[in-house]
Amino acid sequence: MSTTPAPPAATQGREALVACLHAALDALEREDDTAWRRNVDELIQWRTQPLVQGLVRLARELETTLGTGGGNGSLHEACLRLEHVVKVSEEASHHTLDLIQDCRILLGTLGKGGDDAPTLAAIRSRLSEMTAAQGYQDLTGQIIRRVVDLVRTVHEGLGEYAGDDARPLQLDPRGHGPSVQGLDGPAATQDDANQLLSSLGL
Amino acid sequence: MDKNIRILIVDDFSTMRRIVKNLLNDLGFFNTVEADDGTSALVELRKGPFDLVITDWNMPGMPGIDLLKAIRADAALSKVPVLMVTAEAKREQIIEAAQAGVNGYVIKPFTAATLNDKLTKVFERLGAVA
Repeated sequence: MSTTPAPPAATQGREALVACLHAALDALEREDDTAWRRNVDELIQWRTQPLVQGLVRLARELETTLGTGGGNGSLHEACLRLEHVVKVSEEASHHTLDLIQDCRILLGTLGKGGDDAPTLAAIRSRLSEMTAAQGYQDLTGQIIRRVVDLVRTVHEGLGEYAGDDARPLQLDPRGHGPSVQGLDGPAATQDDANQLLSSLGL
Repeated sequence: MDKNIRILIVDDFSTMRRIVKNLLNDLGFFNTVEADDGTSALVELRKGPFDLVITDWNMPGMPGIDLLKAIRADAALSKVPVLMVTAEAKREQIIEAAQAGVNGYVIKPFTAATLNDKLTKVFERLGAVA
C-alpha cells in the first residue's frame, strides 16, 4: 500500500504538534503547571478546530437547505413545529374526551319515558365529531415527517465530521419512551410484565 | 372498599391524567389530585395523606422511578401503594421498579380493562390491609 506524501501545510502542522507534545511533556516533568496547561490547551484547540469549522459549515448548509425564503428555517423552527404537534394532539384528545363525557351523560337520559330520538341524534352527531377529531393525526404526521427529514439531514451532515471514535449522542436518561418497532429492542407486553412481576413475588 | 380514598395521578401529559381520572371515575373513585412530575407529586404527597399514587415513568423533572424511590425512602410516605402506568417496557426497567417497591405495572398503550384489573388488585390489597 502506497502512502501519499502529506502536503506542506499538513507537514508543518504535524511538526508544530510534535513540538507542542514535547513541550507539554517537558513541562509535566519539570512540574511547570502553567506551561503544561498552555500546551495542552493548544493541543485541544488543534484537535477541535476542524470539528468546530465543520459544524459551522454544517449549520450554514442546514440554514440553506431548510431556508423558507426568508432564511428562517432552522432547528429552532423544527422544535416549534414539534411543540405545535404536542399542542394539537393534546387539544384533539381533550376534545374527544369531552365528547365521550357528553355521550355518557346523554346515555343516562335514555329510556326515561320521553322521546329518545333527539338524544340518539345528539349521540350520533358526537360520534361523528369524535371521528373528525382524529383528523389531527394527518396534520401532526406531516409535521413529524418534515422533522424526521431534518434530523436525517443533520445526522448525515454530522457523520461527515465525526471520527470513528465518535460516540452516539446521549439523550436524557430519564426513560426510553414508547418502543418503536424496527428501532428499539422488543418491548415487554403486559403479559410479560405480569409474569415477570409474579416471578419476583408481586 | 372505601370509594372515597384519595388518589394522586402523576403524568406530564394532561390527556393521560384525564384518561386515568375518567377510568377511576368509572370505577366510582372521584377523590383525585393531579401532578405533572415527581417533584410536584412529592409536594402534593407531603401536603396531605394519599391512599394511592398512579404514576408515569418518563417525565421531565423527576421521573416516576425516582418518585417511587423517594416515596419508599420517606418514613411518612413509604407505605403508600404505587401503580406505574408507563410506556417504559424494558425487562430491566420492570425489574428496577419491582425492586424499588412498585405495587403494579401497566404498560402503555393499555386497555381500560387492564387498568381496571390492576387497580382492582391494588384496591383489594388495600382493602385487605385496612
